[in-house]
Amino acid sequence: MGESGGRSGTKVAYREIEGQSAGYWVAVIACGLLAAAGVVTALYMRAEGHHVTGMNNQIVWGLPHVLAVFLIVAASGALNVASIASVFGRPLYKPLARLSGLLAVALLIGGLWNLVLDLGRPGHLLAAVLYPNFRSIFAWNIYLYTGFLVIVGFYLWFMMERRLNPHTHAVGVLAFLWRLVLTTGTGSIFGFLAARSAYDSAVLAPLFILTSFAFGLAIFALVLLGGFKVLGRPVGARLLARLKSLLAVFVAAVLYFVAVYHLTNLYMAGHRGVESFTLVTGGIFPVLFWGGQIFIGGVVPLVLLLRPAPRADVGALARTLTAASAAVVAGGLAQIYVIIIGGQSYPLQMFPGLIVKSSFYDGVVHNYVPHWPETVLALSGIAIAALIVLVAVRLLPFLPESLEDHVVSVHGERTATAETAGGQSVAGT
Amino acid sequence: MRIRAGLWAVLAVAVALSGVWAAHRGRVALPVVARAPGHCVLNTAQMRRTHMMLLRTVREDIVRRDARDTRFRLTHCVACHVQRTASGRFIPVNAPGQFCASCHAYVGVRLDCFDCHAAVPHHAGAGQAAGSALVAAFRMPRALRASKGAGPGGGP
Amino acid sequence: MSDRSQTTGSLDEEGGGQEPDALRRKLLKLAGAAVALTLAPGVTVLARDLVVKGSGGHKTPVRYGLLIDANACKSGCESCVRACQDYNGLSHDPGPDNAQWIRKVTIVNPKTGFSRSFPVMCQHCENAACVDVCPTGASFRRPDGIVLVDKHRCIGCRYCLMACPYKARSFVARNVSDQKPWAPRGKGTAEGCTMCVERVEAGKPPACVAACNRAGHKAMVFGNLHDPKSAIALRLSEVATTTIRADLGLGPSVHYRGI
Repeated sequence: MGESGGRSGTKVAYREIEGQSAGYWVAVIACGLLAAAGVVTALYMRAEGHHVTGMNNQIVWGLPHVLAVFLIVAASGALNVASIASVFGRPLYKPLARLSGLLAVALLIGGLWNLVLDLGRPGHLLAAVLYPNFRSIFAWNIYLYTGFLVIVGFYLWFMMERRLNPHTHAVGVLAFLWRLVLTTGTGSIFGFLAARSAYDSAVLAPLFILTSFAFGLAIFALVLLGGFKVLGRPVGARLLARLKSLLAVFVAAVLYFVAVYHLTNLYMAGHRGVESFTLVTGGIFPVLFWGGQIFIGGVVPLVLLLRPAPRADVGALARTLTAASAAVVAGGLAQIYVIIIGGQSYPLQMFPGLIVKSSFYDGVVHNYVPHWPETVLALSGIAIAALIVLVAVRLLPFLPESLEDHVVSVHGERTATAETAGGQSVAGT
Repeated sequence: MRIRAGLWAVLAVAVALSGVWAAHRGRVALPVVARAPGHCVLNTAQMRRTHMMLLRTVREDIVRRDARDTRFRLTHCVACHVQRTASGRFIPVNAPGQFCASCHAYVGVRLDCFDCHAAVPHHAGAGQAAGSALVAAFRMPRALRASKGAGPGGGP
Repeated sequence: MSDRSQTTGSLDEEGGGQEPDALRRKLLKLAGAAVALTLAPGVTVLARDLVVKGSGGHKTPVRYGLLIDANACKSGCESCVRACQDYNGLSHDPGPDNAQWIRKVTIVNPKTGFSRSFPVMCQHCENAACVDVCPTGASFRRPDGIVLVDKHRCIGCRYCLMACPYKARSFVARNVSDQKPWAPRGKGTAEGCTMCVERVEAGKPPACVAACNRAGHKAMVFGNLHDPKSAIALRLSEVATTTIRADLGLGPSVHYRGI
């Protein structure tokens, strides 16, 4: 049974989910089928060539890459909750650390799934190991991503194996530093491309780190609240209030960096063309930027999260956090779409200031319409991430039985009042 | 427990079906290797064992180190070993039953050279003359043949 | 199923036993170490390049290049483009996913009305962006300055298409079956102008240059940039030329006059 732990003497018991309900199996089978559909689609794209997708020589990277970058960025962010607990020594977040590590692994695998299955010649992937070119961010990322999986794997093991618990802090520090470098690497995929006006900025790397904090926490909150609601396991107001203010800080920080990125670009005369494209004239992209990224992904969550609310009302807190997190995820997808697709849609500036025409779409704004193969492939990355989480929480004790206020603690101080947000019901539905 | 039993059942059915499928397809036919005119750059036994290593080494030399003065070139393999239809048209060497494809099918090794490389020589309409000229041009020099102890000696 | 009803509890993790300030100091030290470890190899690679490439003089005896005279290039003439397509077995149809190793580009200055038409192909850069970003080294630069794709190593990630400022790289999105023996190209790999490497090795100029001369425009000169007595080097020393996006510092081998 659950054993006591933590220096405050509070009890945190973890337990696998029953996983016998019809709902669980429907979810597992749906995710499995979607993942399988992704593999079949990838084989189809491999057999026919990429002309069956909406991607071409103008829009080089499409929907699979949008989802891949989103998932990879969110993966490193999802680990933050564990880092706050074991690196920065905040016991409040400790009961969440296991789920945080699991989500990080699952999201990263989902993102890599998309990237690898979209390759033109995945069979040549071994060449990246045999002849790595270390001037390429991609070559670095191969090591950063696999290293991340290994380190977080050890981290989870150390958290779950009682005899190894004393070393958790060290592995946690390593994992935290690694994820910072990893997100820098992901941001640099775009930041180092001097050729494309939209990407030519070192601010992209720190921007990606901040967005990872927000995306990761939002997905974490959605999984936690959704899972605990389905399982009937209780969550206390104290934890919800903390997650709520943390998410607000992250969202505000992202908005700040987005503002810095666009203001520096606007200040540089040479970048005004691409800025007016993203912000005003670029068709769908200004809509996604202002409506998706800024309004839904920034303003709405901030208003929701910063609105004064009764701190004891668990239901209201959970609803607010869920709505704000969903808005952050939706806005985040819009943000990555604007960066990746919008950045390619704006024509290459071969002759700045001149009108350029050719048979190869020079000087033309490129349209991108995702076709079904890459859409299925992109969604299958999400499916595989969800499948990993669903299977893992059934096999191993990732989820705490309860996150009520008397279970979680803050700096050893135990809460006097414990709101009851539901009985200590047996897991499973 | 029910799940485990179910998984075993699925596995058993899959194994049984694969057996039926294999029996239905029968054995893969022995490769049909048509003799090419002239002499190969190495003897048959050496080519069988090492052609992939040669091609792999040589492709590094040719593509990356611009050392094109090598005899072991895929285009030369194709030039000699390609077959023609009755009407004189080249048949791609990776078409079923052809020189490359028949052996690779027999040993079950995927052949992907011709995803990128031409599977027929360039001289599409030309007659035998072009073929034999290519053979003569790429014939292995006497010295090399002697050192490798290959070929039935003496060029045409 | 009954085994599931046994709960598996376990001890919460240890750690966090230090004072926050001490923790923070330790963390900063670790962060410094990690950053140094991460950046050191990259800095070394870049520093080596700075030393080697900054030393001046020609490292290699041969660097093939082109000089394109936009004043001599005839608007509407597509001889070079056709010759490239025919020699390399490319489609004549310019679809969104068809390769165009060479294309005619028309520029117009909206303020002055100045207009020129000229071919653009792979610029065979000295510090090629495609070579830098390629994770496997499939994009590489030969000692004679020709930038190629080694399709045996290409994984089809298309990072080079993203990185090239000249749109000189294409991705093969369909099955290809009618390749020329000297120009292998296949589905799922990146490709671009090869400067007709087999012709160049046989002592002939690239197909586009030969076609331009045949058409009588003589707008393209091919030769060894590192040989001071070559026609191209002499011409470059006489007339004012530039390269496209010279500001990026990529060092293209293709020079332009009159743009």
